[in-house]
Amino acid sequence: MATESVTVVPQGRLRPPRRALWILYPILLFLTMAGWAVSSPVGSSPDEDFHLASAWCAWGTRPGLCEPGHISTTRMVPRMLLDAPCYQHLPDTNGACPILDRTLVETDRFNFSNYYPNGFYAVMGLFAGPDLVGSVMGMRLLNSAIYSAGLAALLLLARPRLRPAYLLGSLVTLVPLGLFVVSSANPSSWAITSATLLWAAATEFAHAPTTTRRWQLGAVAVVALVLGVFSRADAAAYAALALVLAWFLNARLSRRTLLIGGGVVLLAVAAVLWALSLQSAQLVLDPADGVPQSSRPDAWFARLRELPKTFFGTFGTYGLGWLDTRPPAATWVLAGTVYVGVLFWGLRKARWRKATAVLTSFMIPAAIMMAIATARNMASWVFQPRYFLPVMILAMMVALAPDSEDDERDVRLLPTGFIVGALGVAQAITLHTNLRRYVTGLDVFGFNLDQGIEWWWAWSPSPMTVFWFGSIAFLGAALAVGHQLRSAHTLPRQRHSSPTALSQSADHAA
Amino acid sequence: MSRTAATNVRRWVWLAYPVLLLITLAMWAWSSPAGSSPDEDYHLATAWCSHGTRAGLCTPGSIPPTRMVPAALDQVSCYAGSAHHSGSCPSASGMVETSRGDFAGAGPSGFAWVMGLFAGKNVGTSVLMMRLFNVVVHVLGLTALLWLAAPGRRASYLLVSLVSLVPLGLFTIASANPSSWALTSAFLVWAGAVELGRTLGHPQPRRARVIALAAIMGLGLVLAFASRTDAAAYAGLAIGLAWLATARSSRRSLISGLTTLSLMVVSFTWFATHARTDTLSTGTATPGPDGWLADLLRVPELWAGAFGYTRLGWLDTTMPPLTWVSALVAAAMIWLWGLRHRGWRKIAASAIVFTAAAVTPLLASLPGSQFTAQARTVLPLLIIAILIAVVEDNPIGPQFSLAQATTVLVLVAAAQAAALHTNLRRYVTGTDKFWFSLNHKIEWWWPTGPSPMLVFAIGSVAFTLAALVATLGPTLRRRTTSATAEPTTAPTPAEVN
Repeated sequence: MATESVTVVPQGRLRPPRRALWILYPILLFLTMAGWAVSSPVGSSPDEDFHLASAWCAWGTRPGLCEPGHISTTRMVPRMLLDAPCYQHLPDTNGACPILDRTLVETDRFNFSNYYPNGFYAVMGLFAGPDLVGSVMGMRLLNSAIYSAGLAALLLLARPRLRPAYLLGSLVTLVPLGLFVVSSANPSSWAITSATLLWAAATEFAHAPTTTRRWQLGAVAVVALVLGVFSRADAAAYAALALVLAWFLNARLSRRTLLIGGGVVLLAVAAVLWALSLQSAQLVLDPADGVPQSSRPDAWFARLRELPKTFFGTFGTYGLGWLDTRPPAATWVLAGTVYVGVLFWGLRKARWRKATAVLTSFMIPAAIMMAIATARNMASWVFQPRYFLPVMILAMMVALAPDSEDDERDVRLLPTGFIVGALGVAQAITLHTNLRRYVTGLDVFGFNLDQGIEWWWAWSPSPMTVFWFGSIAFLGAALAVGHQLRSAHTLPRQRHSSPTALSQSADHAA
Repeated sequence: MSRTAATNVRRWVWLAYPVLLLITLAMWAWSSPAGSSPDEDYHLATAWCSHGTRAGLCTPGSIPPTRMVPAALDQVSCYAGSAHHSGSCPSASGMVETSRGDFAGAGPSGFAWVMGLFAGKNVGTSVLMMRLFNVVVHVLGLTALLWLAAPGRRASYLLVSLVSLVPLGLFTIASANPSSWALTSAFLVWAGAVELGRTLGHPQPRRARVIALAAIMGLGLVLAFASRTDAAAYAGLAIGLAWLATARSSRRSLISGLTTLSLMVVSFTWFATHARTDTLSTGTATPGPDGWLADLLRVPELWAGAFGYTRLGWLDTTMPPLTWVSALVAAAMIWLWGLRHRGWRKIAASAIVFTAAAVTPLLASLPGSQFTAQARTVLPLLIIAILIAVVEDNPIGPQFSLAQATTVLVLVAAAQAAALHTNLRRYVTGTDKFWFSLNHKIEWWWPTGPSPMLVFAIGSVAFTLAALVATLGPTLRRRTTSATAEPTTAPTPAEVN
């Protein structure tokens, strides 16, 4: 591999780009997510009845919200929580469900046995109240705000030349599943936010030019770590992976590196132990736990053949919601093309560390999935794409971050116009599909969502208004990223610091 | 190995690609019984009768629109649509009367005429010979193109061939279906015309080269005109796009432009005159019950279908996600990577091709029914689209890093192996059996020749090696020959031309 690049780049227009425009991205993204938050009724995310009951009961007994049941594994919760997703798995049915019944009923469908981490539910529990719609909207908007604000903080504190990479990494991993899940009351929301922020924040931490900056980035990383650890068992494990990869990609041989490495390993081990302590991890720890055995011969082969579906499903070949809202092919072909194309671009100069890290991000969850499926003799397609979106985000972030001597003006190799347009269109189609699915059910066709409405909010603008609002906001967000990428074209060529990131920045700190 | 020997190996290593592709395609030809491609009974009967009355092959029926053909031919696709049934059909003897075939010469007849040369007593043997012939046509055309292309563009052509054929292209090219020629034509017309245009753009073009390239383009056109009506239209489009890619404002470009225009007029006229009468490809432009927009948003399903998202054969052989995800991902990666250098001509050409690929399926859907177009009708357009993205404006080839080359290699090799295995499984026992071993409890197979597992192994190894040549070949060559100047940016086309 040669060291010097022979580049033919217009050196002319060196007008300082309006770099501060990056701030438009998190703002417009939040507006898009607000549109998504309004686009579906209470209970629309997978297992939301379980998650709502867990939130209602996260603070112990609260009169009218959560009271003890007859046995230790049950609680009395308002009936409306359990009724909210009455439309689940019925894509032709509209989103109307009885959500006013506050009678307490007994349920065992909540996080009673520490199945999931309780942190997410504790925060969501703050919103629990007699008005279910208000509670859930609060949760959705808070989760959207956490993503947007966390990303804004990362972008603000990151080295400016890395900003386009993080912007792009966020943009190309959000359509369509990311937008739906982040703006939902589902713990997977935090898992995605954590994946987007943690690796990048930890990497920036390693490269921070000043002590203050280091503390600030450390705080972002800690928040991201907490979001991961407190949302889902797998998210905690992915957080550990992100930390280890951040160290692996940035470490150089020195005593300080080893010390930091030791710290990373401690954190990672703690996160993994935490993950394993949760009930939902029993799937890994006790794989042979009485599941009906499949009688098919050579089932390993069937599982291997089906495996890629789980990853690709994040682009929409699996439905959103309770897996019942399938966007048309245009969504997943466009969003999938952009994701894999950008990932491939990111590999254009992958050294062994980057290549190993990207491969690891995909292989570890794939291997765990295959192991669980094999031990339990079940089909690999029982796993849902949203479990794997965090690692796909992690892989993308790793792939996009330039190697130390990379030329970040390589972004001009990306067809920015196509990426912006394709994602703008894919997002609009998906938002339309999601609205259609709840406003009338997917048995009705037609572009105008305001016609023949069967379910909608009394307080909200019309479905079509939400559609245009969300679509334009996201197109604007994508354009903001496109603008930042184009600005990077005209960056003056700079010699980057030699690849001694950790030790060198440590010198800065000293 | 001496230094020159090593250089020679690197210089000629591309020749291994067509050979390995030939082997892979031959294994695909062997992997399914006669009658496995869509409407193959129809196409075979047409071929059997394409040389008029031939005793034992085709004799006149009782009324003009019918013919007497061997009963075995009539029954050849007995398993169509029943994926749980193996590929075996009850043996039949004697002649039966059929109206299923193009006996009046309504559609393009050249393909049927050539295939008719292979018609014989044994339907299986005849079909195998047709398939191998079509495979050889494809591989020879590709080899000639590669031979004449400059090294950088040769690497690009290899790459396009690699990522655009799994699995539907491999299945269709190695079939007795006219779509085989349509796909071969898609490769040859655009590429032949572009290379020809570039050669003519030189101050003193070599005459032999001009003739050879014109011959390649001509072969592509003939294959298109002889096979399917839509293939003729696509060929016309391809020629126009090739002109768009290469024309400069000069007197010579004007001449080539006029030639292009006349060829396009011929192509579209051919399409227009045959379209109404070809019973298998006509359609009326009416939207499905969900409206134009819903249909349009579903079109990319067909694009993905070309990479295995929709079914092979008589639309009854479901490809596993290991095939369609891997193949689609590889093609998407290569397409977007190809766009890393792009002038306005390339952007315009891409926009035109994708517009055609979006609109054609809507026009081809049958009236009043749901969206019925098939992936194989858009695959030629996708091949042209990938050709434009990868070849145009990228004169020094794929410019892969090792990681990129390995990614593509693994994806296409896995996709092809899974596809070939699935195709074999569907015919050897039907898809209701799940063993990895294809030799276990065989219900249908050819009377002689290698076992199903051996066919799977040979095809997969050959294609993996072909992928190795197409992905790592240029990478290694670039690493050794240009160690001093890593071209992160290609010279712009203007500099090269």
